[in-house]
Amino acid sequence: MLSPKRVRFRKRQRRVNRDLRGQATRGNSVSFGDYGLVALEGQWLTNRQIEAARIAMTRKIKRGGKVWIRIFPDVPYTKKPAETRMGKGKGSPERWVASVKSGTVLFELAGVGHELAEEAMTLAASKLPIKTRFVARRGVE
Amino acid sequence: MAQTILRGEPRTETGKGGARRLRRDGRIPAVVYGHTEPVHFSVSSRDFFKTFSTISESTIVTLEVGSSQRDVLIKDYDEDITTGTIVHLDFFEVEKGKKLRTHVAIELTGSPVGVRLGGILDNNLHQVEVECLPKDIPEKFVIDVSGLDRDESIHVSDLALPEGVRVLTAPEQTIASIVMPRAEVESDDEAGDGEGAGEASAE
Repeated sequence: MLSPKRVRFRKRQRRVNRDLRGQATRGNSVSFGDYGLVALEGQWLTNRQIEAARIAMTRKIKRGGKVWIRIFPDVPYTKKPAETRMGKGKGSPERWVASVKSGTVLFELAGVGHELAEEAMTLAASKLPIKTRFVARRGVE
Repeated sequence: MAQTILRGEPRTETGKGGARRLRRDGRIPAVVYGHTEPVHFSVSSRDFFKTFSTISESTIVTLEVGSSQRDVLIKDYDEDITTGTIVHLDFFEVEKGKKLRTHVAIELTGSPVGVRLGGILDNNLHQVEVECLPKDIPEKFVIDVSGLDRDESIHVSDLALPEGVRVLTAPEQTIASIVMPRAEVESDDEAGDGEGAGEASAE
């Protein structure tokens, strides 16, 4: 499961406006592989969701191609324990999430045909809580 | 290389308002620049995609804007990745007899020996930068990778260059290699979509 090895601060502010709204201006093109999965919505993706999508994809391609994960869950997500009164400080870190803006390329694939890549990406997309779009690098049939 | 003709209409309106009006009418705002004054124009989106199945920087196009004709290259394009539409085009006017720098696509053909033995063909470089005269620009570099075995690779220095073409990309850069897949580490909680107890372990 993806998570940072070491962080400077255990807890962080949410930064929803800055991190999730608007269009991605970086990481918004297929750079390494031939095919990609693009987020069409801004959302936090947990490391479990990213891992589930990766497993779904690699099982479909049966180790035939190469997969790139273009996002990393480096944002700590905190939660207060159940049945706790408000106050008494911020909750404890619960999971790691990746901030994803609309237009971010989430995964890339190479070494497989167009059809198989699309099927694998569809399976991966079904593990994610956002709308996505399958894209091919320009020049790839 | 066969000459392709693209027709454009000069535009007076610039800025985002004018550009949006053009896009609504099915046109792509574009600009051509080079050794003469830049000219703003627009091309029909339908004509553009009919002419170009794939966008390549190494195709010389005859551009007709108004009454003038010029030889151009597609220098850059802006794409809206969420909709897949081309938002803007940059054309570069080439000067006959003067060397220019452009990118040429690399196409790999054949089924490598290493892939049949369980390896994965890793294509690291999809295009190289070249310097040559406009008439010498190769459409693409076709590389036969059928002889590529496990842990072997092809570098930029291995490219067969036509006469008059100089590659500017570093010669030691890898174009393609055969890599062996890493063993998959199967974990117990691989279904992974459950939102159970988190294990965030920030130090």
